[in-house]
Amino acid sequence: MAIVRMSEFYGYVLNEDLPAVLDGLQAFNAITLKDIAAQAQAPFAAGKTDYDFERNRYQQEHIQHVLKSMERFEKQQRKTKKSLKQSFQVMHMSYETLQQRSKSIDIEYLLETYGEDYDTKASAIENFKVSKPWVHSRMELDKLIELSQSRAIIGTVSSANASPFMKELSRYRMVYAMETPIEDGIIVVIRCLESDRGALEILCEQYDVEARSAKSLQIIDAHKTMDRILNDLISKRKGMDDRYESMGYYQEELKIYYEYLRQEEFRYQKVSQFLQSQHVTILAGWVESEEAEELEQVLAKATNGVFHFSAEACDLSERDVPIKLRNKRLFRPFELITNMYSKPRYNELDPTPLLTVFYAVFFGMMLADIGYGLLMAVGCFLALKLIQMKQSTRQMISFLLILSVPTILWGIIYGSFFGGLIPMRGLLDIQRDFNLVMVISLAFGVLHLFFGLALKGYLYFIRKEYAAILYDVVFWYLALIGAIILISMMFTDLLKAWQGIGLVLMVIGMAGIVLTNGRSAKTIPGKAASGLYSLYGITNYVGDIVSYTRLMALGLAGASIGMAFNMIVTMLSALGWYGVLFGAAVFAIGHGFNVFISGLSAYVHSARLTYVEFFGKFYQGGGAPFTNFRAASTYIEIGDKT
Amino acid sequence: MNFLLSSGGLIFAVLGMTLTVVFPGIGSAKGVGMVGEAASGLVIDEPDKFGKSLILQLLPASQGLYGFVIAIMILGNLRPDLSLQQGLFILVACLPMMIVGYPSAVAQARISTAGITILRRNEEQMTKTIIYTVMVETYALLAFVTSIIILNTVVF
Repeated sequence: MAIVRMSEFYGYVLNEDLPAVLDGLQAFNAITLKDIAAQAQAPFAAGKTDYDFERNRYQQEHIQHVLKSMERFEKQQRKTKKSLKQSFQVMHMSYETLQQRSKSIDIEYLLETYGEDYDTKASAIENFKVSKPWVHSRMELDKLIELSQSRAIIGTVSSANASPFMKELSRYRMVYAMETPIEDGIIVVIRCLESDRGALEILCEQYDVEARSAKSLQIIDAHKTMDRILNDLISKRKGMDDRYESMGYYQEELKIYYEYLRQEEFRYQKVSQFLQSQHVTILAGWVESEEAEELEQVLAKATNGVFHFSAEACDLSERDVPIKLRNKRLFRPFELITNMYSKPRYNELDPTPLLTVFYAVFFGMMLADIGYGLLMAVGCFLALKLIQMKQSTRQMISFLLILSVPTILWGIIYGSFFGGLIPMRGLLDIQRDFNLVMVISLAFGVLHLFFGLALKGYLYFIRKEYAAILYDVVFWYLALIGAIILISMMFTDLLKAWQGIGLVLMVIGMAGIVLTNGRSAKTIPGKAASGLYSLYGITNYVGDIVSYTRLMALGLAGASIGMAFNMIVTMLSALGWYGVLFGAAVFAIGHGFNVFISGLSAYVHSARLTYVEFFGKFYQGGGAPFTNFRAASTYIEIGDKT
Repeated sequence: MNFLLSSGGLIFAVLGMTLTVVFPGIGSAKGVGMVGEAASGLVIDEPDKFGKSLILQLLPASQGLYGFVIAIMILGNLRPDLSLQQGLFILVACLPMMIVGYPSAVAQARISTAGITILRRNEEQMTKTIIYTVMVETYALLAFVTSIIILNTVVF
């Protein structure tokens, strides 16, 4: 129930073990690496790897392209839309399974079959350097056909002219060409679109291209291969729909391989954050203190024992420790709210369990309807049970599921079921007793702010700044309590007996604030001035407390809208059977809209009260998040170690 | 003059009722239109984001609804023998929603339109725009609640 304690680790491994180490670390997952490349000193330098990132990205792009075309094709075929369930459903797979399955996938074959323009290693022409326009940008089928039907320009260029000629040639994007060096220059074979032919012929004149035939140059085989590659591509394009039809199972394989490529790319990218000498790589990062030993074993296994590992618990005052929150199940969904603001610093409190209760109460008070609450509860419960969703979606849904409880409870208090569909007596009628509800809102506000102030005191306590508790917390309590007693006299005589005490408390508190809160200033007049200025901060409290009236306002708004729709429904249903039918539609759409708008408002305004009013009292935030050693996945949710 | 005294009550009440639908309604229509226009540009390239853009588009729609709800609530108070004073009271009760509805819907729509750009570039951050947008809505909501409170306090 708090911020997880971290240890900073250093690992020394042999360069040749690095791939195995990276693989092991990625399976282990729960580490955040530290970028130590900037500290490089001879003989160490920033880490390098000869991993082929370009090939990886090229394959990624093509897999994505195939999957997208496949999706488009499926849409055309079925004409029906995906069901709601399907669009939220995600595939789950453990990291180990992903690795294993991707090893048995023949990606070259798959991409050659299904990738429209995939350039396999196999489609090279011996001794020739080929430039294929369709590799770089998408070409329409009719352009490809035009290319294949065009007359090839075959010729030789002298050595002097060769490189400027090829440079000029590369400016034409739709040119299919190949070249090979000969004794005194190069042979070029060019196929181009009719629209480019004129310009190209001038270019050939310019660089003295000597026109020859394939036969005389003895490149007939290569020339045929060149044509075959293009023709294969065309027939593949033409038969694409048939191919997609047969794809089925391979779609999953492609997704798996895509995720595999992403992970592989990710782990090799991180190498640049390491330090490397000729033989040794140093890597550094953070791991949960409890898992440090486990991490050591991972390294031991990956290096066959040839390594050095050290881990040391992080000091509270360290700034750059990555933050991971771990809360009890009930509180965990509320980490959403904390994360949206900012993670805590390592020496702060995790505010999640502290904000949960108030957040839930506020949310319930603003939506406050039994019907809406039940709707949320049933919907979220079913979604959680029936659909395998992404982790983040799951968290959001369980968040809403928890919030449905206070919504129902407040609905009972206000006696509201779908905006008063079933008349029932609650404890309060928000339409009539809104003044009372407003006072209750303000009382919640005072409670919330005082709780925030208490937490500020607690933080001082754990940092052992005991005097500050008196200065910044106790004095404020006195001033505020005194002021509240005095202000309440303007509306009610309830606290009249306490008037004297209230005055004394306020004066002590305010004097204390003026005397102590300017203590950071250097000169005496400076201290006095900034002490007075701090006291001026009491106006902020007025603003803060008034801000809680929104609890009443939003509750009333939601209730009124719901009631208005019910009025319309009643009017309509008096018109006979078609009125009833129409009324049912108005009921569903109207209340649907109200749940959406009121729910959204309740979500946002509860968050606002938490961030501005509550966090303003004690919370700073600004901690860096703990990021796992894995790339974010697209198609498949990759499970943690079990 | 006599006519004003005898039927003025009803006329002013209905005037309040209609105008409180008209102005916020214009605002919402304009706002929803603006966002819809921006969203269509997005959906051409990325049809999958339709659902999310719909949420953004719906946000400035609430002002029109608030005006409409007030009109419905006035409906319960309408009687042919409303006095001039009562009629004017209802008209004045409508003023907050009538006035605040239009500009707040348009302001909200501007943020939503910006949100469409965010949706295009960085989908994850869209929730934050929604929060900005709902902040504007607060004021429409306060106007709405004020109108409702005034209408509820005095019972004819």
